[in-house]
Amino acid sequence: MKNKVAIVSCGIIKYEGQNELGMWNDEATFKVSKMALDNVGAEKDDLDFVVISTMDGLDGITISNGLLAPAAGAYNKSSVRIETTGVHCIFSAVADILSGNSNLVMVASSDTLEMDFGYVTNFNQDVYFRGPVGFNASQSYGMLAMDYLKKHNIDEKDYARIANKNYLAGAVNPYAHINKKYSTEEIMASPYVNWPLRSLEIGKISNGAVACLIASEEKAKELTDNPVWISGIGLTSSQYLGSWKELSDMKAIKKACKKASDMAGIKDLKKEIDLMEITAPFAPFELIAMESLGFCEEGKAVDMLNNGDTSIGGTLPVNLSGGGLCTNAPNSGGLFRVVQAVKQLNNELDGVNTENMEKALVHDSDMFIGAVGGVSHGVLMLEKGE
Amino acid sequence: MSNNVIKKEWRFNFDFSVASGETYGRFFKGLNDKKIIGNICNNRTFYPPKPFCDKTLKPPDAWLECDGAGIVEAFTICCEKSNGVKFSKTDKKPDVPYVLGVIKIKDSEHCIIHFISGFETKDVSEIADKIEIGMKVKPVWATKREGEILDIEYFEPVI
Repeated sequence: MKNKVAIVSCGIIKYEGQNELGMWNDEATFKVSKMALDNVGAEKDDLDFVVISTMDGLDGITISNGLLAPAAGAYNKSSVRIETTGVHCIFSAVADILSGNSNLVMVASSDTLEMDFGYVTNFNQDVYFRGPVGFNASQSYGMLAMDYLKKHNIDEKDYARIANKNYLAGAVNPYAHINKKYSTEEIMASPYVNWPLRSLEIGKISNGAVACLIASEEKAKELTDNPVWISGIGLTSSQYLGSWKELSDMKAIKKACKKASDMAGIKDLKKEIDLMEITAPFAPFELIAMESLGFCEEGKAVDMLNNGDTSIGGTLPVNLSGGGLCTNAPNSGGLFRVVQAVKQLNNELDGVNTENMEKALVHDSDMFIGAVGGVSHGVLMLEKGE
Repeated sequence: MSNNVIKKEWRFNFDFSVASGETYGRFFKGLNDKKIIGNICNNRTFYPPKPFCDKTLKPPDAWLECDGAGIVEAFTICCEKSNGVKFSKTDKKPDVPYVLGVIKIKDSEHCIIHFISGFETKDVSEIADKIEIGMKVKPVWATKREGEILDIEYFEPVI
């Protein structure tokens, strides 16, 4: 990008299970927004624009940003609510800064609700075709997991290994909802939910809150010595009623990644990216995404997994946060991953050494409401710098 | 959690209604008569029909009709009952395990998601072994049909 934009501060609380936070979304959002401001000595009056990520269906009320926006500092400010993902919110923040309209933008989101997610994600489907057959997010995950299993002739145990890798990472992440080191055997022993996916291979819904401050180059230099620069963003969406090939081949991720890479001037992703945070609410999506993003040939991501390349200490760590299996927050999950990547680039996470990591890729998606058709994807490139 | 925190429970119970539009309306009315209606858009075949070609944004060219036979492109075996979701024909939840499949009707260039049944076993691994990608299936019609997707009770393998 010609003009530079940075993430200058983050606020985050430890994620918990549904309804375990003891906070409504305004209280949780206030806590993390204030934290983000305090970290760099900024005040509400310094904010030019506030972006909130919520989805009414996941908050149980309409206009669900009504409570949140003032909690993030939006009273008497420009603000917008985006009903998709964290990367989409950051896109809006970056656009407002690059237009010259803003110098400092708050992006915040929270999840504080307990709900029957199977029912809610069925309610999210269309009423004529998919809704009446009870289709929901978890079933869409099962279909993609089946497709990958059959196409690449891999073992169900490989899915358990991906889950195990994520649980090991989540166990040392102080912000992750699930901190338990489930073994491959324990995962294999958990019951099928949507064959071939087992209970411990699908993320449980998490509650928590997260915020970050996005700044123009001038403002970033004024506020911090530790900015993480946004070098590229790509957004795309997929077909809703399409062929199975269109619904399963993740062309939308490829396109989002290409846009973000081109903007960041990245020539060779494999050589240049040091770590990744991928939205993977079910274990094998990590493999599907790595291949779609171009980090290996189709069907070969499992080799990277089994070689330990994507684990803590590997050549390309993926989801050091513990990923969607350890923290699966519908509204704030995207921002959670962005903040995790920022903390990793700044080597701020206890339990993992990310000292020499310079460039991160964050993939974000609204696939938590259904992964086959009508899915939005976002890819964000981040660079450590001065 | 502080002693001052209380918990509030609530439930949505609103009534909504939405028109199908001409294109989907023809498809659902066809189901009432055990017909599968499709159309041609930009030389591509679609069952169910599409109201427009998303590649060219042009209107469809012609209507089609077939018996609904197709192939399985993907599936999952649902092992947990969907809480809250009830099915209009029976007002019940299906017994688990049951199969939801991605079905391509005839030479359609998009697919539908529907139940696949007729496996004579409730063992998940046995059901998984019995379903091949590309397996031929045909619709089994509900006795009482009202112009909706569940006028097809389920798809069953063509032996």
